[in-house]
Parts: sequence; structure tokens; C-alpha cells
Amino acid sequence: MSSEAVNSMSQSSYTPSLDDVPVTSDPACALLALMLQSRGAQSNAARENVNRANDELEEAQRQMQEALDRSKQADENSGFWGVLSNVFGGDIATIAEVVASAAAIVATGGVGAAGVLALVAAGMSIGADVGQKAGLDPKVCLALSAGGAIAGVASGQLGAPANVWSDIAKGGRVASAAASTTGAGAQMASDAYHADSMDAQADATSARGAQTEALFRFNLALEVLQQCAHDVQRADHGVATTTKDDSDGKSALLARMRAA
Amino acid sequence: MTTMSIGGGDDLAALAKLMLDVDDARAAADEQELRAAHETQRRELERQVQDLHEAANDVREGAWVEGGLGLVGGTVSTVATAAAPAHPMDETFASKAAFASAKHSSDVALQVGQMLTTMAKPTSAMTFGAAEKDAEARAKQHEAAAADAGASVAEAEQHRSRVLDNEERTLSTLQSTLQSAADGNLAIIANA
Repeated sequence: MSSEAVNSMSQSSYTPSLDDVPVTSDPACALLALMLQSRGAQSNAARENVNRANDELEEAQRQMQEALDRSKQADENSGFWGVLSNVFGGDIATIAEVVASAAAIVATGGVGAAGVLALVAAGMSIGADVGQKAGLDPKVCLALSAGGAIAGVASGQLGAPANVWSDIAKGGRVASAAASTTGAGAQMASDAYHADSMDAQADATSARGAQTEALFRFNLALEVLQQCAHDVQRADHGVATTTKDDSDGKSALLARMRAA
Repeated sequence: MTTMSIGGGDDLAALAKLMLDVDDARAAADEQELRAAHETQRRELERQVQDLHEAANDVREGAWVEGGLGLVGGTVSTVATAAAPAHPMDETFASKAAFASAKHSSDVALQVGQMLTTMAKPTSAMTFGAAEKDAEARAKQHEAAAADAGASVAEAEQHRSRVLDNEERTLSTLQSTLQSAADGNLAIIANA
């Protein structure tokens, strides 16, 4: 319920006062007047409680929204670092390892260099095509394509000495290890953001609890307010009826006296 | 809580007072139960939140352990790979011995790095993974308890509402009976 609705309801509620009670010396009416006064005080307290609970409700709602926003942001960050971790720890490290292995084979003279490079070039090109169709990250596909092209060019430059291939193999292994390390770092960041998201979700749960708490107090205060208004109306009606009965009785007695 | 002054020694009024007193007592008991159930719900929810935060902390600490070991292991592996000696150009005994010694050191460093990297995930799972699952299980347990308490709150609210309605009906009946009695008295006076 909005604060406007509550205020409007509060304003529309009957506000009791001693001035509303007909002046009479009847003890019953005096008692009703006291009841009205007591209910008036209760009603004011309940109205304050309703307003306070309403403020708390709005505050809890704001906190919940804020926590949910934080959770969403943390999830996005976690996803970004997770993708980065997969790219470095998976794709790049694997490619570098493949390059290193191929270069090592060439360096040790295990297989004809041209054959190896041609195989690598073909593998990378096919990998890029397949990856693109399978929905792999376009950047990775681009890297595979570029790797394939470079390997293709290198296959025509095989006059290099063996230690160059050793260096390439070593560079590939270093790059692979570095990419894996970067992937591990990115995974750590991803998990840390995931923990932040869990914290934010816990905060949202806490805010939901505060909301339930405020709603509980709001309902209790509202009930007291309604009960007060109801009791005051009943007392008011009682006073009016009593006064009317008194007056009717006097009129009836006067009529009987005149008739007699 | 309804309060109504009922005067006189009239049997009807005495009965109504008794009924109202009983309803008042019931409503008071329901309200007490309502507040107790609500307090239980609040406490369980608080514990659930606390456990959720604990689970998040376990995930975070697990990430630090896994990431830390992975980073250290990866760095050691990278450095060891980069520092690995090249094959000697000459085939002398001294250069072969120097190569073998350097290669041994680099291999040891590489193995240490790989071991740290391999150990990263299991270590994290062993130290914080189980604690995280425990905290999540406790959070679920408290969530269920809070839901139970919430159901008790709703039940107590309904019961209290019924009692208050009953009280209201008693009061209305009493009021109309008293009004009828007053009207009857007036009629008697008028016809006397």
C-alpha cells in the first residue's frame, strides 16, 4: 500500500474527540466519552505506527532492489571473467601448446617440417571454420584463422635453422603456460564475483525479511487503527441512541402527564 | 481488543460479558501465538541469511585458494619453461653436464608448478567446497523452518480474525437486544 493511500485512509478515519460527545450528566455517556478519548489516543499511536511501518516497507523495498542490482552486476562480471578464463585457459593455451608441439617435432627432425606446418595450417583453418559454425567466440575463430595463415606462410620458409624451431617450441610452451596462468587468474576473479553475487542475493533475502517484518507491523497497526475507528463509531452511535432514548422517554412521560 | 461497558445484573448482559471475555482471552492468546510464530520466522530468516553469507565467504575463500595456487603454479611453470636450457651446440662432456644440471633444475621447477596447478582445484574443494555445501544445506534448512513459521503466522492470523469476527457478532447482537429492550420500555411507558 502506498503512503498516499495510508494517509488518505488515516485522514478519512474518524478522529475522536471529547467535543464530539453530547454534553450530558449521564454516567454512561461520560464513560463512553472516556472510551472515545482512550480510542483516540490509541488511534493516533496506530496511525504513527502505520506511517512508520510504511516507511520501513519502502526502505526494505529499496534495499532489496539495490541488492538485486548488485547481484546482477556481479553475475555479469563473473560471466565476463569466466569467458576470459575459458579463452585463455582453454583456447589460447591449447593453440599455443599445439604450435609448441609442432615446432618441437620439426626442431627434433621427427617429421618433415613442411608436412607438420601444412597440417597445423590446415587444422587451424578447419578449426576456425568449424568453430564459427559451432558458435565459438568470433575472436577465437579469428585467432585460429590468423594462426592457420601464419603457419601456411611459415611452411614456405623452411630454411630456418633447427634452433629457431626450438625457440618457437619454447615460446609456444611459455605462451601456453602464461595463458593457463592468466586463465587461472581470470577464473579466480570470476569466482570472487560469483561470491559477491551470492552475498548480494543473501542481502536481498535479508531485505525481503525486513519487508515481511515491516508488513507484519503495518498490518497489526492498520488493524488497531480500523478497530479504533470502528469502536469510536460504535460508541458514537451508542451515545446518540442513548441520548435519543432518553429524550424519547422524557417525551413519552410528558405526553402521559399531559394526558393524565 | 474490544471493550464494552456492560452494566446491570441482567442475565443476558452477564452472558454477553462472559462470551466477550472468552473471545478476548482467545484473541490475546492468538496474538501471542502470532507474535511468537513471527519471531521464529524472523529468527530463522536471519539464520538463513547468515548461512548464505557463510556459503558466499566459502566460495570466495575457495576462489582465493584455487586461484592463488593456480597463479603460483602457473607462474612457476612459465618461468621454468622460459628458463629451460637449450640443447648444447657442442657435444663436450662439460657442456652436456651443465645442460643436464640446468635441465634437472628446470624440470623440477616445472613439476612443482604443474603439481601446484593440479592441486589448486582439489585443495579448494577439500578446504572450502564441503563447508560451502554445508552452509547451503543449513540455509535451506532454515528457509524451510522460516516457511513453516510463516504458515503458523498465517494460521494464527486466520484464527485471530475468526475470534474477532465472533466478538463483533456478539457485540452487535447485544447492542440490538439492548436497543429492542429500550424500545420495549418506551412502548410500555407510552401505553401505560
